[in-house]
Amino acid sequence: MKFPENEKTGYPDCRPEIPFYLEWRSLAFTGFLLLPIPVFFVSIFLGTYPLSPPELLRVLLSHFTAYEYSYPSVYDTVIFNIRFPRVLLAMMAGAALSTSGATFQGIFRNPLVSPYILGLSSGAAFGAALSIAVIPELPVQAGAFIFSLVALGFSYVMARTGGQTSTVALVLSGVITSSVFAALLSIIQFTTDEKAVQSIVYWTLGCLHTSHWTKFLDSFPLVAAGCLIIYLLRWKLNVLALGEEEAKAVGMNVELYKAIFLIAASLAASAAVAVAGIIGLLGLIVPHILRMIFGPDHRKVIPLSITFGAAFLALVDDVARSTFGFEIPVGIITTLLGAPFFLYLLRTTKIGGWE
Amino acid sequence: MAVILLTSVVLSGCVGNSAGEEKTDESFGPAETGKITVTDDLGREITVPYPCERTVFLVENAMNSMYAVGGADEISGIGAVWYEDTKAPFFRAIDPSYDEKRLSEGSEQPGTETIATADPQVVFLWASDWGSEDIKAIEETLNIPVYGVYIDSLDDLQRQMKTLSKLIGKEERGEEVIELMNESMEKVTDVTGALSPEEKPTVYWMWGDVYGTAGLNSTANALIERSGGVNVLNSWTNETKNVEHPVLNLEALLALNPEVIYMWNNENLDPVNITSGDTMDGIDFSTWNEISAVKNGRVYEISDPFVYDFHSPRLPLAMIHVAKDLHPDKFAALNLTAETDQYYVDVYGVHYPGFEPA
Repeated sequence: MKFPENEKTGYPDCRPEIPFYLEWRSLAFTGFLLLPIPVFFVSIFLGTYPLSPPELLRVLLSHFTAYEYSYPSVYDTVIFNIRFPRVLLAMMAGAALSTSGATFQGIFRNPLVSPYILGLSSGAAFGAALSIAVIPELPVQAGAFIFSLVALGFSYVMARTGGQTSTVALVLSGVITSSVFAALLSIIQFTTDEKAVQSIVYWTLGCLHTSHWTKFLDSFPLVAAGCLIIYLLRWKLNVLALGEEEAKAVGMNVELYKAIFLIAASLAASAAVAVAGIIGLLGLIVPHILRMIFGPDHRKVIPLSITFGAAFLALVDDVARSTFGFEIPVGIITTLLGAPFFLYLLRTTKIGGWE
Repeated sequence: MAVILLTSVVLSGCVGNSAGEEKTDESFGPAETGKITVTDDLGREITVPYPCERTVFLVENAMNSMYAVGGADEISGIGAVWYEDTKAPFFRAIDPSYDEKRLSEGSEQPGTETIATADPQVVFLWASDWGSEDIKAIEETLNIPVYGVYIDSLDDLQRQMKTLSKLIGKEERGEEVIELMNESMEKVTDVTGALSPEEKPTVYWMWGDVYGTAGLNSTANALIERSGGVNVLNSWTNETKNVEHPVLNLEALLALNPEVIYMWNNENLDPVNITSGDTMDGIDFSTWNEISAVKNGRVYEISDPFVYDFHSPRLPLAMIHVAKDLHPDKFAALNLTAETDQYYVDVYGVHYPGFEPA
């Protein structure tokens, strides 16, 4: 048997070349990119309302094609006003938090960083609590969004000295900001009534049961803008992930790009948290799962974070809303499902790309 | 510190701790021993001096019961009172020393040192489990027995009232108030008891968290049933329907399709917001339009959470309120304002509204 000659070495290649499209990673890459599509269709078939799959299929067909089928109007409500916006909102929040997590981990060069590192979640929780218990005129989403950005701004301003924003200073100021907003949240919880405390706790656990089109449409532009910026500049994250000195050495304006990534990631995560509550672990585990499978290259990790993050949270929410017949906050499920899976990957592989 | 220690020593001398004592059904030995052992709402036995002269209430529902059974003078300290601005005029009318008895402001609970200043022989505290840290803290630091308050049925409420009246040696008044309650409730149940199953609408009870509702083992469930409705959760297949406060989701609610939605008083939400399909508190109520209750405009609200607090002796008033909404034709002759006034006069000795002495 004669092997073809390698162009670079001039020696015969002992392994026949595997076409790119057949390599398992490429197949997996394509599969992960397209995952949201089947997940979306599976998700809209799940729910507590007794609607059989053939019936649901007929309703969809009659809605989108010329197929004629007569059905109760409540089916429209269940499919198009409850399940569609809920699945889309879950996907949007999943994409935002995963992409934001991957970005923060790249900037901070730290595998333990999540989108909440700069106090975003504490600020959002405080804003939501303020709205629930103190200023009912302020919509919960607006309160959460405004105060998540206030917290981020606070962290950034505190960390910035002499025109520089060091990574360590950012992390420390994030810790301080989180503590301050957590304390303010405690004051509200301590002084408000039982029902309001219950609502605050429910919100902080992350829940999608109040999803509707307005929520989705209000937050989508911000999430899309944030994710798009990160996607377009994703290769710069590879340079930033080398370290600030190295990035400067190759001519990168580190402060500028760090600020761009921070703003874009924060915007996407804040918009998602404002409508979905605080969903734990997602922004941490999804990027890691992807790095473990596909390596640390942000050119792959970022688009995959968008699609796999979307599919992941939609699937988790399917479990949260369909398994028990009542609502389990999705944040609880992400933690319960994510932690053991993450542990398994951690023990069976290298910490994807960080070692 | 000296005051607390002294108080603790004095109290420890006259108050027995229930732990490890032999269990009894109700109470024993009031006249003979100068002490009485009663079973609290959690099923714990506590022994207190008899008749009990100084009680501290850190839970408002039970305090209402104490006032109803004539125990105003036996209340020596009052803890958190939610929305006090709206309730204080009533409490001042039935207890001139109300302000002096307050141990904290508004909805804040007093600390253990402040509780000690009221020199209580027993403290009443809301608790849903035996291992409550709050109970332990008071019992162990102040050496004062704590009565764990927990009500999730009408029977619980009346049993609690009997126990409270027994503690202060006013059993007769306790029986009298229970009789008044039963008479008022019979005005409703005599009518609703004769209704056929078809005449009873299915009711979704909506707590402040919107998807939180009344489980089949709850006071609100008893309220619905006695008022002539059927809790819509009876048709729910989920096992959590038996807990006190199950939580549904929108799809489950649509599937249950209640004929009536009854809201607990909600500051941020009115029935019209639901029937109009508004978006309130992040919930898009246009998705509720397919629910029978919304289609037919049968969404009601408890108009005043204090006056119609059904975890208090005012439960019969809440029952009349709900029954009138569920069956307006059958209870047209029953005037809620007049009934409320008469009930306040009988139970508290003041008129409603205005709280003028009767």
